[in-house]
Amino acid sequence: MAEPRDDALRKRYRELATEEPSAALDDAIRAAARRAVSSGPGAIRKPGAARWAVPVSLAAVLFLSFSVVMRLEKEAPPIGEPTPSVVASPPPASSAPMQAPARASTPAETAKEAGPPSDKLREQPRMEASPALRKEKKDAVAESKPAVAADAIAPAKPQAPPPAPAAAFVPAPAQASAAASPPAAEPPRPAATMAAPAPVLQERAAASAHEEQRNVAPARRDQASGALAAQGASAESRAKAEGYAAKRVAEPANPDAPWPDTVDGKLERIEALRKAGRDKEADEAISRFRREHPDYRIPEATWERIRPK
Amino acid sequence: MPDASDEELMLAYAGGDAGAFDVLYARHKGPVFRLMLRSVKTRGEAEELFQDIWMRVVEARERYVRTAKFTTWLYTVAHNRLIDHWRKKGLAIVTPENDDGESTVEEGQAGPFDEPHRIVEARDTLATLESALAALPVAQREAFLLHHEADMTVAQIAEATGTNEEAAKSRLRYAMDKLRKAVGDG
Repeated sequence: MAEPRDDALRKRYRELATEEPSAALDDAIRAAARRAVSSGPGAIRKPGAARWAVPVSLAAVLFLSFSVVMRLEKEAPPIGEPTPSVVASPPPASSAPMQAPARASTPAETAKEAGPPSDKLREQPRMEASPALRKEKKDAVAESKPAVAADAIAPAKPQAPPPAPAAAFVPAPAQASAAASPPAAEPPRPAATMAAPAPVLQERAAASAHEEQRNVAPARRDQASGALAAQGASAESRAKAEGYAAKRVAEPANPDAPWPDTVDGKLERIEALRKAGRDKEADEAISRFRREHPDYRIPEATWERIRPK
Repeated sequence: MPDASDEELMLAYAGGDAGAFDVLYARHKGPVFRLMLRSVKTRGEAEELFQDIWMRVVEARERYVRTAKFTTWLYTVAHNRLIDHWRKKGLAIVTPENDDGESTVEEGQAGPFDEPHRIVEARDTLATLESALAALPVAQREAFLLHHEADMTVAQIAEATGTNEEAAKSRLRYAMDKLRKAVGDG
């Protein structure tokens, strides 16, 4: 196609065609081209830190989730332990020395209390709900007799129980020795307490004053005992009694243990006596229970098991 | 990189290599710019169109496929941009060709340098050629520029301008004849 005349024309045109875009326009176009590939997909690769950001974040999230799950599993209560509400509920009209043997009669709870420190630590969050209860237990161990006095001073029991039923309830030394269990070895202590009400009252008064100086925990205990005595057959105690009756099916109480301080414990004791065939003692215990808790309504199921034959 | 073909450079740029674009741009910026400069009235318009063409190249980098020669693809983009420009200006671009294969520009819709008196002006100088080139019909001028600026064959001109080879060949021939006459070689 190229002819000689075309070459001449081409040469002339080459002389003419020397225009170029301005340097500013060149720079603008090149810069736009670079921006396009730097921001576009598949352009410049991300630096190492940016490439690892997502995997590292995912790993961190997984690790934290696993840690939280493991921690929750550790804090979860083991199957078979009593629910926190049962453990945390303060014993009404509590009498520490009587409560301690009653609790000792349940092997599971005894084992729990005597468990390793880790178990106690595990229980700590739940037990914090009732600091008064824990303090009461300590006081009960340290000063057993004065603590019992607080029970007798409670407004619900204006008259101290007569010595005769108490003495009648106290098991014989032979029985106590035959029981051969730690709680059974202690009966003389509450028996002596019941048999001498007058000096005990003085001790109780001193113990009350002593405890009031400590902190609010005793106040809570008195308040709790008064409230329970006033309310008597409250729904809460009924529920507890029924729950305890159900629990008794699996855990028979020791009929020779000291007279419990809680309604549940007393009913449990009566039932144990009835099952042991000691009907006379069971009847006396029922009478005593009614004197101590005149307004308490015994659940039907429990009554069927403890009623006089 | 400087020895790479246009197509390889374009593919490299599509893959994120900005340096490939620089090489490609350096190769083709002059011819494309002069094509624009001789197709519109002012340098400002030419620069605007020139920038638009390269921006279209940048935007279309990922759609580029190595099926055609890069220059054909590039000047197709340039041709389409020119058509858009002329349409916006309300100018007729290419009228049906006459028996001689020569496109005509309708009266009142002539290109920027189509006035006949310009052909008469400055025969003796280099500006004569420029005037003659500006006086050419749009299609002929475009065919001439593509052939001499971009070194395109008739077939490539036809492809870039969206016409058949015969028409492209005819346009080129008429343009050459007119310019030869204008500069006194005819």
